[in-house]
Amino acid sequence: MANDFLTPPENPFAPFVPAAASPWDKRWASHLLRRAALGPTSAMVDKLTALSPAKAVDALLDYNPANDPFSAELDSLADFLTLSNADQVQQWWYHRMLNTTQPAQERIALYWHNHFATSASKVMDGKMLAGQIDLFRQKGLGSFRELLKSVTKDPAMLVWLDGQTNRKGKPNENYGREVMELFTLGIGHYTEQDVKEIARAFTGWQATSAGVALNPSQFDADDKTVFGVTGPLDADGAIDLILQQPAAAEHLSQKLLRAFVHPNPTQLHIDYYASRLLEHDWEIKPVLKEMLTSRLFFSDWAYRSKIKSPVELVVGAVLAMGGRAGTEFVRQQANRMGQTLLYPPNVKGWDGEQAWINSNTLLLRFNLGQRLATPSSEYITKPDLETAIKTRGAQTADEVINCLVDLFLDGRLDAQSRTDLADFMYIGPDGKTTTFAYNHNTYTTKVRPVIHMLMATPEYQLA
Amino acid sequence: MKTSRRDLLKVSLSGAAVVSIGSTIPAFLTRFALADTPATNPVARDNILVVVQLSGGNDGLNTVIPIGDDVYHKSRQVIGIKDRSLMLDDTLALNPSMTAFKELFSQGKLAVINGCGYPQPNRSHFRSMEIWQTADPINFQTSGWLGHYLDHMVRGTDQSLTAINVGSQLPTALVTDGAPVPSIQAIADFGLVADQGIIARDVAAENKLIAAMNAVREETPALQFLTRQATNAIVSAAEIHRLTNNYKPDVAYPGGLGQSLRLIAQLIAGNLGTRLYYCEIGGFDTHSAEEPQHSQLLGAVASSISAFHKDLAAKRIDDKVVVMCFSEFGRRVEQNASNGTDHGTAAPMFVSGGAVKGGLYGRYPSLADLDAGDLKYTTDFRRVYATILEKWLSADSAAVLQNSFQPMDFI
Repeated sequence: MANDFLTPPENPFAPFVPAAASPWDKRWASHLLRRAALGPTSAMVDKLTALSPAKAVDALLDYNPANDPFSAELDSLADFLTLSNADQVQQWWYHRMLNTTQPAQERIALYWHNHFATSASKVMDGKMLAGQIDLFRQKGLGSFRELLKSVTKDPAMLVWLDGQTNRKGKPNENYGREVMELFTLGIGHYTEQDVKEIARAFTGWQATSAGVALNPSQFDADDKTVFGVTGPLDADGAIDLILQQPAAAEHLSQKLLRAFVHPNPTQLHIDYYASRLLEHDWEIKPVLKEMLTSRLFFSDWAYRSKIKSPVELVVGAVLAMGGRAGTEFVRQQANRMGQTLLYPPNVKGWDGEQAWINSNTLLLRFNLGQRLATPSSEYITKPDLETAIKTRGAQTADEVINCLVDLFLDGRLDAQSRTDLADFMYIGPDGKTTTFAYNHNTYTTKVRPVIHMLMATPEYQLA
Repeated sequence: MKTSRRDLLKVSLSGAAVVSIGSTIPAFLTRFALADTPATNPVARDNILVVVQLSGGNDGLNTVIPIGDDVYHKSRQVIGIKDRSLMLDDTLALNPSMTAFKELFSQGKLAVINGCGYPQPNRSHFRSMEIWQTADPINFQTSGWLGHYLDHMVRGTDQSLTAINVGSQLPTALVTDGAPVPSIQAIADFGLVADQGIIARDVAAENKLIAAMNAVREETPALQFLTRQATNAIVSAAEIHRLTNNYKPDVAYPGGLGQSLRLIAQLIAGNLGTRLYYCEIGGFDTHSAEEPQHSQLLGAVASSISAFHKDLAAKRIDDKVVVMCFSEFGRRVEQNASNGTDHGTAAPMFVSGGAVKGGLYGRYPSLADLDAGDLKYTTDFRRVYATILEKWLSADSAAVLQNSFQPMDFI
């Protein structure tokens, strides 16, 4: 018998149909929320399980990009937030993630931030980066072609990959190379000559305080020969030409599959969603919806197959615990675990998956539950899990464990660990078995350690 | 066949079952003890480099002072130092607060490399620090020179603890293309933290349960990877803590930088196989009221590094460790209107340790021949890096630095 955890499902691209053996329940709603949003909360799980899988995906992805619930708040914070400071832009982003009603929008922004990885280490101006992230919020589920054309002329990208200094007669190849190597085609699908030539097509775009504009005197209007096609190519034309290359759809298909479904998709999966991207003329949303409603996505093979990024881990934990935590605390936790938003290590973005994990980062991850559940004397808001458990009416050890396993582990934990945790809760100060009743005292002495332990399971590290 | 989760827990560190988990054998179990390698081998594979970063731009002129030069005293009417108690030769004196460094110098364990800098100096803290950390004054690099070293030289081996940054944020110098370098702020953080308000028996039970829930499992590739990493981390952390418990500093360390170096001494004494350590001390951006704060900082640097060497010497491992001290730039020759100094250029570097050939290296920049009020560098700092890479870390410096620099003689 095939091991479902190791083998992708049969008929992978058909829509997932809940059945007795695999019902549409907490497990699959949480899985969807981890991949397409910022992680499950009990309210969101309840909301999605009341819908069909397809309607649940719609509910997440059909956000209105034009509706930014934070713009008024941003204005009101103008005196406190200095968006030119990238650290404050980080905090602002965490604030959005912890409070948004459109978590998929932030999730999509995170995805493109890693795809078009741009770092404040060189861009310096936090406002430029904030603008780029907003671009991802606005256009992240639209046409990849349009997104790519916008990114090509994005101020932060112009600084990051030296578009600013890419001028007629003095081309800078940085963007021309990376747009093909990392953003669209992958290495091996273009020649060095293509890089030289296409760089000239991107000349002349400059960001100034007045905005981004093409400086005609710096644009090289002469013929270029790229992929064997000769013409007076400009930036948009270059993007169109790149996207005609067969490798382009395959490249994006693979990146989407790795980010949303499984770290190691098969060629069959890659080819299929590449063809869907072309079929939909590079529109991201319909393809992503097909992906997120497929049997492939709702499979044992895909479930818990990915390792949470630090941002997913920390933000997800805070949301699961009720959504209240100081953004500086959240930011520092994620940074120390190896993901400093707006500072990707290089233009490739974070390698992700196993690269998140080393001895130190894993121990920091294991201690996240301890830090979140421990009240702090610092000026840090911490989630109030004590009340959350009380409102759920949990009284006995088993009820408390059930409540916490529901919150953190989709209700799934092996029987041996449940027994061990309950035993831990029953042991009294004298080392003898006693009774357990949930109250403020036992929350401190027994339940907080259980929260710590549940968040230190290998399952909790997985998305 | 599956290893039982519970069985694995019962296994002691040195037991055969640790070997059965293959690649997850904690690094320290697979490496030679320091003492097993002859200390006389100049490029022994277990040589250790400790980098101390002085952040903010250290005023080199008040550190290694051209005390015999009238231009110095005229340029620094208020903050110029006249104390000649720590002369290094006929013309240069150490800042009088750096008695601990004078002692190292007299013992032949401290190399002072004067006039370190690079062409077309950048006076931005950020950019200049990046230049020092990436060893590239021209191009923006996203990984660092020590990161390159790790990528080029240590590839294929267990990198988990090959380098350790002591601090909260990883410096660019240690950014690799491969596995990320861990940052440790305190040993207490490197391990499972005990929940507050619970009794010792429950702490022990909790740690045991976390280890049990992370015992190696093989249902999926992700679980296998995580549980192996977790087992490694928990065992390593427990081992580091065990070593922490055994470690006794043989000297008293000062606070601040001293505590970072104490932690590094602890880790080195624990024989983790770590080749690179990195730590930092800030506060050198002395734009105003430079004295006495700058001298105090230098005193802390000297006494901390000196304590570190003494501690290691008492443990008979000082010959295995070299400390390199740098800052992103020096400061202007002329003091400013606030009795401080503004961003400048060249400054001395310090390299110390039992294996170092102490003395003065590099020509001291002329105060009579300035470039718009700033010193002209005489030694490209990358020569210092190349020396350490070639002669201490047995690396091909041209490959790591992506450029060829002539090694110096201080090692």
